[in-house]
Formats: sequence, C-alpha cells, structure tokens
Amino acid sequence: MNQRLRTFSEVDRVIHEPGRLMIVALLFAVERADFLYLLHETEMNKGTLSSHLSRLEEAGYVEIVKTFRGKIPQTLLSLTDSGRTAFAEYRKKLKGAL
Amino acid sequence: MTEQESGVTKAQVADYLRRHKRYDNIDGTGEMFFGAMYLAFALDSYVSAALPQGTFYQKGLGQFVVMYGILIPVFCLVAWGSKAIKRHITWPRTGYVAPLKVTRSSSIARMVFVAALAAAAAGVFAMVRWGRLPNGAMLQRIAWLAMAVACYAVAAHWLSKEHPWKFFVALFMAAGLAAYAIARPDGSNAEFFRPVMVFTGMVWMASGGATLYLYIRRTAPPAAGSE
Repeated sequence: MNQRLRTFSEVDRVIHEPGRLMIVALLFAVERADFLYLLHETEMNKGTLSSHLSRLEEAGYVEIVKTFRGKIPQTLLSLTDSGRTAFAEYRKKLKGAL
Repeated sequence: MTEQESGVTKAQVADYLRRHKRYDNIDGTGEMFFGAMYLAFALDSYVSAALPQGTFYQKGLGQFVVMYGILIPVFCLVAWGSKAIKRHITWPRTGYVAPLKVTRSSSIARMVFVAALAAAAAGVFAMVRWGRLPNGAMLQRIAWLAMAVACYAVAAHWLSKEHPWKFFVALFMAAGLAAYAIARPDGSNAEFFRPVMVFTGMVWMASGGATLYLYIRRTAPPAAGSE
C-alpha cells in the first residue's frame, strides 16, 4: 500500500467526519465556547450538532457542561486534553497524507 | 490522495482555527474601548490645562492624581459597558466564546509592518510639507499622528473581511489629521494634541458604533427561553 494512503487510513475517524472536524477545530482554537457559538459558526441544525457533540463526548474529546446564564440555559463546550492531542495528531497525519 | 478525495482541505481547517478571531470585535466594543480611552486622555489634557497654574495638580504626583482620577473611572465605565453589550446583545445572538491566550508572532509581525509603513508614509509627507529638518516637537507630532493612523489601519486590516469600509475610515482619519496638522503648524504640542485626541477618539467611537449597528442588523435576537 502506498505510504500516503496508509497514513491516511490511520487518521482518527471520529475527527475526520467533516462536521465533527469543524467542531473540533473551532474548539481547538478557544478555551471554551457555548452551543450557540458552534451553531452559528457551523451552520448545522441543533439536532445534527447535538448528535456530533454526543459522539465526541463519547470518544472523550469534548467536555460538555450545562449551566445557566441568568435564567437562560447555557451549554459550555471545551476540548479535553485527549481531544487536543487527538486533533494535533490528526493534523499531523493529514499533512503527511495530502 | 488529494484534498478533494479526503473531503477536507488544509485551508478549511485553517479557516476553522481562525474563526474565533472575528469575535474579538464582532460587536464594535473593541473599537469603542479605544475611542473612549482617547477621549479620556483628551479630557485629562483639557482638565490639566484648566487647573490653576503652579498648583499641586500641575506638578509631579498631582498630575498623576488628575490623570488616574479621570482614566480609571472612564476605564471602569467602558469595561462595564462592553460587558453589558456582550451579555445583553452579543452572547444571546451569536454565542459566547473564550479565546485561548496565545501570542501570535505572525500577527505581531503584520502589525509592525503596517505601523512601519504608516510611519514611513507620514515621514515622507512631513518632509514634503515642511521642507527643512523638523525640530523635536515637529518629529513628536509626526510620530504621534502616524501612530494614531497606524493603529486604526491595523484594526481596519483585521476587520477588512467583514467590514471593508473601515479602510475608508482609516483614510478619513489620515486625511483629517493631515489637514489639521497643515492648518495648525504653530502653538505648543499640548495644545496641538488635544483636538487630535478628540478627533481620533470620535472616529474610533463612530467606527465601533457602526460595527455594533451592523451587527445588530445582521443578527437575529434570541427567541424567548432559547439557548
């Protein structure tokens, strides 16, 4: 198998999905953000975004904290250390494969 | 394997990583902060000049008492105002984001480049205008005017993707300051700089206010009870 193809086949499939990649990249650049910020930036609908976030939380890449801002519910999201490591690794492999 | 086959491009990833930067001044609060601080310095200068000559408030420590007596309340007021705009307008409309505190060497290099370019342009302009070697006071004026324009030009560059009209504001500021410098070559530097600070502060405030107005027009208010 071609070396570049082999490298590409080894990339993290959880992160590689375009929607989740967008979420992880957006969160990688910030300390934390809320659900509305991601909704606005990704232009996904609430259901799709929630589904991707659940998948990332299952993988241990995203931490989700439910809180309130005054009387308004707020969902704060941040990448975990393993999420940051996984994304950094993904970028490295992507650079090697492309 | 090409970027198209992989379904993602490096440019896309780079774009996602940069998105949060737009939020620094998405509502114009950053510009309004600059404007308010310029106006606060102008107020300090006017108040200091109006105080009786030779009193405690015009010497050493007294000058700092006056300066901080004006700057600190203005700073607190602006910080409170910015937070209020974020809390009541920005976060409910486009969400909350806390950026990482990372120094970006490329951004600093770009700022230095633009500032150097503006300073060089101002220097050439001054040499053409005044002909002979300017004295220290004149150099001080040129440096300050160039810096004032360069600061706004850097902000205009950062915001140019969403607000290309800010380059025209930078030109307006440069033209206004140059016209003023030509029209008023005499007098002390303190007298010269007061209107400069007022004008520059007003331009920043107006620019920030326009950004806020456009932000409110382009974004929808939150639905009741929604996140």
